[in-house]
Amino acid sequence: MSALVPARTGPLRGSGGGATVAIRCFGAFAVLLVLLPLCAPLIAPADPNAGDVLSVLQPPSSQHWLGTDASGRDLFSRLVFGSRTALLGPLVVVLIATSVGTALGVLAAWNRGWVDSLIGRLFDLVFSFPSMLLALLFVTVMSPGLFSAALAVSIAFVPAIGRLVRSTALREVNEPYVQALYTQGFGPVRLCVRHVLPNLWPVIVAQVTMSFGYAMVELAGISFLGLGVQDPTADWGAMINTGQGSIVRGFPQESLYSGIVLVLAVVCFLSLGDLLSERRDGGRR
Amino acid sequence: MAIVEHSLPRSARRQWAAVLVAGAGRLAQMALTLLAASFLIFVALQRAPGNPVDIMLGNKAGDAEAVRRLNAQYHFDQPLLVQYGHWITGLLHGDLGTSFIFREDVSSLIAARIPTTALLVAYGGLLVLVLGFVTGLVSARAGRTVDTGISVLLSVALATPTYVIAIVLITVFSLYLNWFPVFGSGDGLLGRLHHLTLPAVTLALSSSAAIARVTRAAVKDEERRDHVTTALARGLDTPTVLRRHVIRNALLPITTITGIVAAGLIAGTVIVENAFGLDGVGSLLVQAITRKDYAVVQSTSILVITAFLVVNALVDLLYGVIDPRTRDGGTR
Amino acid sequence: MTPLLEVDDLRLTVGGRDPQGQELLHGVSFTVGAGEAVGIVGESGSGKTLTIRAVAALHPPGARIDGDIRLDGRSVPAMSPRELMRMRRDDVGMVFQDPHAAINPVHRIGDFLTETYRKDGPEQRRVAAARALELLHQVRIDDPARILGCYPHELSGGMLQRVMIAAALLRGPRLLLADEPTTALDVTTQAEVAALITDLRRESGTSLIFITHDIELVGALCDRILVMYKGRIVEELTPDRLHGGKIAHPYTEALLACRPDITRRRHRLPAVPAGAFEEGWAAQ
Repeated sequence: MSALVPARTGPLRGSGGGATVAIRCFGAFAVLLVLLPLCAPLIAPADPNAGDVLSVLQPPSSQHWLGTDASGRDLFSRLVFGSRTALLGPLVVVLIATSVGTALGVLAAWNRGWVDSLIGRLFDLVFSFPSMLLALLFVTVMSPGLFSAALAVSIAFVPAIGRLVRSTALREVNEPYVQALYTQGFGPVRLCVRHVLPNLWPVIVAQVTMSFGYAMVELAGISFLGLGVQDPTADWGAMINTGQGSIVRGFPQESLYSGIVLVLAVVCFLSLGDLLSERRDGGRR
Repeated sequence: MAIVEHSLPRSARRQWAAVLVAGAGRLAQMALTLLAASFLIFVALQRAPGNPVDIMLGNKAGDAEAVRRLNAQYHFDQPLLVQYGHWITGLLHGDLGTSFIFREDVSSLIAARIPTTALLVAYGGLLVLVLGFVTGLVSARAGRTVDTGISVLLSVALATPTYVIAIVLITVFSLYLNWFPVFGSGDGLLGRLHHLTLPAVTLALSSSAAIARVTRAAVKDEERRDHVTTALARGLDTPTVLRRHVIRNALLPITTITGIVAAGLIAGTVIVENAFGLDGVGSLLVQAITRKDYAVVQSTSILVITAFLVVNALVDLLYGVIDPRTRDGGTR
Repeated sequence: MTPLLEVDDLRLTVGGRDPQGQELLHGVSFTVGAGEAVGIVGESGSGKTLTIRAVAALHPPGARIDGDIRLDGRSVPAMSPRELMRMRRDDVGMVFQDPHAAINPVHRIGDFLTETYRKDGPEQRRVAAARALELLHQVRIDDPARILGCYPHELSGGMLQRVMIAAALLRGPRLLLADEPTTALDVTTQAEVAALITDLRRESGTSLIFITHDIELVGALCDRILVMYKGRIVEELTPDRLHGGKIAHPYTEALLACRPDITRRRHRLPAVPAGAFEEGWAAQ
């Protein structure tokens, strides 16, 4: 929701060596997060979908480390397996949004004039939809599920990436060396792919990391509304939703634990993106 | 300003005229965006699964005569553009069509839901402004330790999604402390406010963090400006310098972020109303989506987008009011 | 008769973190008599701006002041915040280098001019507004009534600097501090603004400290010239000694040699010796 608020003044702002250490720490945590869904079967002590009507809403014990949910399923195992959809969704979003956004951004920067203004209008139109509404409409048309939610969030994210890439690429395209190569007869596609794009990498990497975090928030939000990942499948956002029913009965753990895990992951990716873009800005000055 | 009113100025009047012209331009642009957005939504929902006529007829879905009659009644047998024309004309006359699920006029359905959402957004918005502004100001003026502490809290608040905040607040304040009711909208203004407090705080928390950050940065930035030195050199007292030179000027960046934040508040109501079981427009939208009530989805979406656009336009106008430099010609 | 302003062995130290700190002004002493105009020249970082900011107690927060500054016999560093405010408001006027940066862009000119009368009630503000109109007229602004309703960005730098001067003189201060008031202006405007400051000051009998790096300009405006270098006053001159007089300090000599002069044929203007520059920076 605050995807447009650049976080520049956080306490995590370090300078020089401090920033690199922080980047390494968050980076290591991010790698762990990515490994989690891959090794889920090795880590989880139980089948995440195996319910047991006799052990419903149990407190933490040696058998169920974080207790059980309303269907008697092991919460810890569900959290571990929930990382699969929680990370797969943002991955899809980032892949689609970045490739489309970068392509459109470079295209707009390269062909000034009507192509540029057409793409600009398109971005404006998408921006006029709150991203959550766009996602909800998409889910309506395509029927609820992780994939349609991810597609919707991708589209909502394209303008932000596209505009950033456009402005950065514009600077690059106007560099004398690009003009020089162009006059030497290098084709535009080759120039973009071989010379302009590599110079955009730092910008794109920072933006991708941050978008990953925001995509997690949006996707889990859609699942929380019951319109994303559907129930038997373990997913952090969906678990916050299903756990809601147990809160009033005095068992907030399912919602609470999945919320905490989600926030930790989001903070990790946002801070990482923040630090990366700060390092990039620092390098340019 | 009172003392110079008599001499006020053609130039000032011209500036306000420029603001009005900019406003009119903005309005036209808004209308175009709305038209494009409504068309997109209309076309997209035509492609949505489930046939409204089948849904309406229920178990009589096979009745060819009834299908034909209903198709004619709701213009389903006509080309897409004509259907869109019918819908948009109705929309302009306040006729939003009929909900096939709720079996009620969409307009009265939505109208019944608006007060809750409007109150929630107003309550939340007020909290955002007060909480965000005060926190940011304190953070900017306080010593290093307090500043760092607030910054950490802000980072956490900014990264925590609305639905997680809802869960935490419900758990702490409704379950354990029992201060606030968990669900429902309440009766009477006081009851409503009581029921809406937790939702409003939930809605406001991460947005206030955004406002607080911008306020802090803007105030710190403004304090260093030359014109603040001038004000001090002229012997103005600190509260006056803070009010008229630091905060007044810091309002510019704060206003810019307010547009984004307000838009976020409107979108955030969808999540918050669902988390707290409030009967507002946002929860209506989700219900309509789940039950494939496309007439309601269409109108609610347009309403949300309109609110979104209006808020952004208002912020732009407000910006012109507080920054004289943007009034004429808009160069900054 | 005691002079209006006495600066006595002024030392200013910044850098709170290391115990020694860095001393930027090393014992600056000078006086300004009533009605007198004193010019301070020196290159960037020589400490001239710091010196007059310290006079109005506007030195950077965290800097330490040693020595004494007395305005009319009263010690400025010893003043309470309240006394300081009153002193800045009534006794000292300041004009800064870049008027567009030094005047808040969001308030109208009329509002800016009468701002210090806000607490005095509407009656006083009306009087102040009338006085502001008159002063704008004196600083040779045509159609002052229209200017009162304008915003700063609608005026040119030269116009705005006149407004600034009017603002500084509005409460009839006894000391005017001008911190490179002509540097940001173009050449013709520079001369006009400088002449304006001198005229108005003579009329009202206000004392003046005029800071610039243009030694020719202070020669024309001031009764006495102080040459500052690396946080010290290295020489005190009278304007007539600028031309053919005895110059004691090599730095002043170097500074004077840098002036372009149409009567001398030179291939290239000499610069202040490289070492002097570097040391000047180091002192900054």
